[in-house]
Amino acid sequence: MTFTGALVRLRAMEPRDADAQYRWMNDLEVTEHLGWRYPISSLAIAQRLDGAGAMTFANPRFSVERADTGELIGYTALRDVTPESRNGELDLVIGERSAWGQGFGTDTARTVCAFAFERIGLHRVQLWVVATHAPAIRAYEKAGFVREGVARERFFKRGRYHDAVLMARLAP
Amino acid sequence: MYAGSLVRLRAPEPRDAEDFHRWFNDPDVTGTLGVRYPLSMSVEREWVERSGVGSYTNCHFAIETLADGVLLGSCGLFETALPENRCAVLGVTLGNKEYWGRGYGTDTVRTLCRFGFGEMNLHRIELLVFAHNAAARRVYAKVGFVEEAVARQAHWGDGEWWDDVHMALLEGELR
Amino acid sequence: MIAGSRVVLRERRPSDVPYAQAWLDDVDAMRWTLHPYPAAPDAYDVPGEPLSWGLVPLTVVDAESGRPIGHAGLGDMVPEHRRALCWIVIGDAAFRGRGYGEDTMRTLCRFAFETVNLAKVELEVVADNAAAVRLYERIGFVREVTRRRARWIEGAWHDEHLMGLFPEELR
Repeated sequence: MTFTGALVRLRAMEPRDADAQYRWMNDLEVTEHLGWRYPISSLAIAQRLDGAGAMTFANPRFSVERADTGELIGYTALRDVTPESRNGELDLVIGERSAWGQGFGTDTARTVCAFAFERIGLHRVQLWVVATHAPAIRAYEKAGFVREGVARERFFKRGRYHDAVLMARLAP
Repeated sequence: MYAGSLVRLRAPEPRDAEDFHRWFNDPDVTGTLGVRYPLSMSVEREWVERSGVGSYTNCHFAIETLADGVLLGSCGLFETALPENRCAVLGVTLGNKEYWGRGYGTDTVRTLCRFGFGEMNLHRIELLVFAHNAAARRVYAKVGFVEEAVARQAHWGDGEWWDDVHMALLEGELR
Repeated sequence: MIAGSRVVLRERRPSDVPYAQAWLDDVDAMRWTLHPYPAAPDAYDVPGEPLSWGLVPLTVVDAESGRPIGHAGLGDMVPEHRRALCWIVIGDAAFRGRGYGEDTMRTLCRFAFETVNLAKVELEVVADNAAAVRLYERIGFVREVTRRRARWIEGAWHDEHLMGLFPEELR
C-alpha cells in the first residue's frame, strides 16, 4: 500500500533502499541539521532495514519517492507514538540533494500527516528542528505546523550549542 | 548523599518500596505525572533494586527530610543516552502529601539541579509539566527554570486534552 | 565521513579487513602498540551497530585515492568528565612520515571537540616512540604523567607518557 500526495509517494522501506540511505546519512550537508553525528556503515543501515519487522501503529516508516519519476528521494517516520495521547514525533529527511527546494519536503510532511490523522487516528504530530534550519521550518509551516516554542541550546553540533524549535500540527 | 536546606537525596532502598507503591497508586500524585496504569508491588520492588546503583544513565534518588529522615518521594535525571548534548530530563515525585506546599519540592529541585550541573557536568536540565499544574510551574520558575514552549493538547488525561509546558534551566541559571 | 586535508576518517567496512590484516602483521607499524601477538583474521573489528557515544572506531583513508591506510578512534568516554582516550595507527608504510598521521590526529581531535562535545582528549604513548611524541606535541598535546616501566616491548622495559589536549590547545 502506498500513500500519495501531490508530489510524492510514501511506500514501505525495502532492503534495496540501503545504498541511498547510506549515501544520505554520510553526506555532511544532509546531516548538518540532524542529531546524527557519527559515520554509519552500510552494514548497520542494511541490518536496520532488514531487522525492522512489520510496520505497526508504533513505528510507521516510509521511503519517499517522487510521484512523477518514482525516484527515491528520502524517508519519513513517526516515532514514540503513544496510543493514549495519540501523538507521535515526525522524522523527515529529503536526502537526495537534487530534490531540495522544490516542495517535496512540504508535500511529504502533508502526506505523512494525512496518514497519521486519517489512517491511524493520531491527534497530534510534533517535531523538533534546529533553529538555524530555516528552509525546513518554512516547509513545516507551509504543511500546517505551528511553532510552539524554542528549547535553548538543546543540541551540540559543529562545536557549539544550537536552539531547537518545537513545531506541531493537530488533527483537523 | 546530597543535602539541600530541607531535604537529603540518597539511593532508593528496598524499604522505600511500600511507600513508593502507595504513592504511585494515589490519583492525587499520579495525576500530576500522567501515570495511567496501576503499578504492582513487584514492579515497584524491581525498580527499587535496579535504581540502587546510580550512574550517568541510571540516576535515581529517594528524597527524605534532612531533619528526621522522613521519606518524601523520589526524583532523578533521565534520558541521558546522548551525552554529547549534555542535557537531561528532570523528574520529581513528592508523594508524601503532608509535606506539600512547604518548600520541600523547591529544595528538592534545587538540590537535584546542583547535582546535575556539579556532578554530572550537564549543560541543560529540562522537564515537562502539565499547564494546569500552577503550583509546580511556580516551583520550577523560582529555581530558575524558563518556560520555553507549550505543546498544545499533547496529553490525554481524565477525558480531556492537556497542554504540556516545556521548561529548562541552563548551566549558570540555577537560583 | 570526517574530512581532514590529506585523510578522511570514515566508518569501518568489511572491505577494510584485508588492508587491516597487512597493518596488523607489519612489525614496524605494531612495535609500539599493545598487540605483541600475531593478529587473528577477525582482529579488525567492524561494528554492525551504528556508532555512538562510548567507542568510535574508524578507518583512515587517503583522501586522494580512497585507499585505507590505517585506523584511528576514540574510546573510554566518560560523560561526567567529558574526556576520551584516542589512538591512531598509520598502518601502510608508504604513508608514514609524510604528515598523514598528523592530519589524522588533528582531524580526530577536531571531531572529538566539535562533534562529540568532549572537553579533553588523552592518549598513551611509549616514551621511546620519539616520532609519535613529537607529532602529538606539534598538535598541542601536553605530557602530563610518565609511568615508569609501564610496558614490556621486545625484551625491554619502556616508560609511557600520558598526554592530554584541551580544545583551546589544538593547533
